[in-house]
Amino acid sequence: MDSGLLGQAVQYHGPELVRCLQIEQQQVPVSLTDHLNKYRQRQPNTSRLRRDISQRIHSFVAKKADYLFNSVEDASGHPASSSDDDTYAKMPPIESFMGVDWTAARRHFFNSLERYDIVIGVVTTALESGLVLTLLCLDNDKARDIDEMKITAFCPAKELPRVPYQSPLEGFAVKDKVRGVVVNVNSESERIIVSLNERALSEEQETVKLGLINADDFPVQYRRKLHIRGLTFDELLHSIVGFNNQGNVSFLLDTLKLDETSSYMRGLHKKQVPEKEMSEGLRKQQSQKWAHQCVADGIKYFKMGRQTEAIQYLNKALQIDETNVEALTARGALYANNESYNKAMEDFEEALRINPTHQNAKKYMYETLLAVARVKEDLEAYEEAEMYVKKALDIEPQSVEAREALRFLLYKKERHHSSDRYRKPSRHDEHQDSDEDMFMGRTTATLKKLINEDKSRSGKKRRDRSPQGSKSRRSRSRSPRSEGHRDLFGSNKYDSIPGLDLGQEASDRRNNSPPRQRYRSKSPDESPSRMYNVDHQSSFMSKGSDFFKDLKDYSDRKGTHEGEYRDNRDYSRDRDREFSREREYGRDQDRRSLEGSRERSLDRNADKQNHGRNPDREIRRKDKYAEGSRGLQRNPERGSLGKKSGLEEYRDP
Amino acid sequence: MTNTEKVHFVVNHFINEAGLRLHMNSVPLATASVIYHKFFRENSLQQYDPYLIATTALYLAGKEEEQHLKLRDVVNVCYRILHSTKPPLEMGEAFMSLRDTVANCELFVLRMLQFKISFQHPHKYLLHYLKFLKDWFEPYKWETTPIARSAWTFLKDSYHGNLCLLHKPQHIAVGLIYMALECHGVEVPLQSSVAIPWWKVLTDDITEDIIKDIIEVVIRTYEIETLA
Repeated sequence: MDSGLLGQAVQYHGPELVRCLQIEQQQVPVSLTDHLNKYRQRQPNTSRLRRDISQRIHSFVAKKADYLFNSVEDASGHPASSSDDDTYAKMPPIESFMGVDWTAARRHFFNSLERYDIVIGVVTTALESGLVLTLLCLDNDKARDIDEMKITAFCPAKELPRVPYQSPLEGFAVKDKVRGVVVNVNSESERIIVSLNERALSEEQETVKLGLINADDFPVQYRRKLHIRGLTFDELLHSIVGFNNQGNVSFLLDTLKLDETSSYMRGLHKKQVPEKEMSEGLRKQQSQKWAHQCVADGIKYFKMGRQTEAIQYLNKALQIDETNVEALTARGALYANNESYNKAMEDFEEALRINPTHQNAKKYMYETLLAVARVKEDLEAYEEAEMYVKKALDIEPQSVEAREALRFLLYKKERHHSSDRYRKPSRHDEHQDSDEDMFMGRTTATLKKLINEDKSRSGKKRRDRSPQGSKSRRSRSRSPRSEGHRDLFGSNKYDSIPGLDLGQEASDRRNNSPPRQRYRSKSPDESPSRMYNVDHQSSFMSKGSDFFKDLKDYSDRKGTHEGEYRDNRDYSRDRDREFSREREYGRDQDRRSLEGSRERSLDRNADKQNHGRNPDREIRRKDKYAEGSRGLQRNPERGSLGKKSGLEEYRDP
Repeated sequence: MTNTEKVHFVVNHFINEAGLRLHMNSVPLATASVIYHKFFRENSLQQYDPYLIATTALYLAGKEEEQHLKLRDVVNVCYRILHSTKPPLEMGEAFMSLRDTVANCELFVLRMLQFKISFQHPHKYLLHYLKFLKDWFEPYKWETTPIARSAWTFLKDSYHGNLCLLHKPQHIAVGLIYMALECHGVEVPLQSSVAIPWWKVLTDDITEDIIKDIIEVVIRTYEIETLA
């Protein structure tokens, strides 16, 4: 409570108010007695109204004193600058209607005038020392009726605007109308000093134009005063266009420094509502839940294989809530499965932008990048492929697969370039073929060697899928030389080693040939995913879940792949398929080693031993259709497939 | 203090809070209150759920005063205020049925009010009068005494009661300024020597009795708060 304000009220109302205050409020400031002394006993001619309501007012003020007498907040509104004529209804000053006593009004005017007020006056005398003006009105959105009062102001010569080649006084004649800014007011002596120079203006008043003006420049409230035409205040008010301006309420609130939400009710006074309880917060919360539900439905349909509906639900979810990471990831996976890699990557990128630690998004992004890299490789766009593999490596720095891919790519690129460099154009194809044959020969040899190595190992090795395990395995099986190569990812050492394709066969055989076999394409026209037997649906959607490998569709597709390619392709194809099946089962972590899988598959094909999970795989390979139908049966057991599993899988970790 | 007065107070409090959460401006909020008061002048509380009428009034007022609110937001906010302990409303059966209810009620309320929902509010008058008075005051006095703030606040709070239905908007504006001046113990300059008092100038068909009545109603409205 501001004691000054309280004192003012006490001074007005007297001891009765103090009594009420003492009843209602706990603490009453002591300084009130001071104000109490200034209270004059109610005059006999006090209006009846005041007398009638005084008691009610006293008890009301006492109750609401803590709100009423809060000091005025320093709201930083616009300073009183001239606004357009029609922002609100600019009426002539009310004193024009009240019929004030001139002497009192004059005194009042001198008490009200301040520095930086803009005045408009007419020149009455031009002296050597300056101009004498008779003031007509104010111009900074204040309305005062002063033209009848013959108030004079003086503008010293040095405050006149400087005009080149002319003495400032020459610019002004008697009866000229000027606008100036008040510099000094002395209310006792009734002297006003005015300046016509822009320098005297304050910072906010930069737009005000001082100096000579015509009658048109008079402020609208003054012009209206001259044309009251006998209307009442109310009638005049309604006749002004600005009164019906929709925006006048908010403008005036600003000018008067008022708050839209003020209240003296205890429940509403300065009420703070938390963000998420406001309408936007509630809407957002609702949208998120709704989108979540849509995503769950979409995934459900996806798993059922109804892709069109799935994509519809996911799109709807994203329409509701654009930042839903789950929806973006699921949709990306859908796109990736349908080989729309670009769209898939866009979705994953967006998902990762929103939530950079989202596991599924990262996983799928990684895989998509590798898949795209493979595609680019096939098209012999090695630069792009390299870029994609490097991006994949960024996401999963520990992944051996990506590194292998990168290493192979670099090698292939180098080969590609060197083949241009070293060979003559006419013998280009010949050489290439012979090179390939050489590699083929080397490959088979390497494989045989590896098979023999694997045979000597126990089954435990297969389990050991950690990167360390695989690395140690590699170091055991490889020549010391290979160790050097293992660290070459991302570096361009390959480029500096001359004659790479000829000189380092041994390491090539070990490090590069398997991937080379894996990725070389004999018929580039076919779609890459088919060729590599990579079952995208399995690879993208089944991570961490056991559901997809059961689905009938999968089995069907696998069947066709096997039929088509088993005869034509070499052993590597089988391996690829096995590898993809590896990923499908989702038991491997991302740091699965290429060698590990190869060795496993080698193992299986070589000696058909039953190792742990092999029985499952065996069965799947042979009884794909049986497995498929069993898969379908298994689903209902799992209960509400869509909700539980979908949400589990796609909930943010 | 009758029961209906208390109920109306509480429901208008609810309207104000909802308006706050929906970022409604004062004038549309006032329209909502007036719609509510007018509705229950014709009908009794036993027949209709006041909160439903209040929600509909908010939605209608948004449309009328060109500060359009989405029905979804209105339903969300109103549900939340009334059921703050339950989880927020999800998109589903409950939401849809609430939404449809409000949409149907909108037409019903319109018919009940004979489609006359365009009102002249005191806000415009109040703000203009305050501006004119401000010009007449000594600047220092005006800046340090929160007369404008009090008058404006009295106006906003008066919608908890039915003052808006009882007097002309100009009269309400003048009455509230008079009350603010009285509360703060401030006199308009030169009133002792003036031909026509300021409140008579601003609106010439007002009388002292009207002002007295207005002040009485406002004070009573504030008193209901302590009892409701």
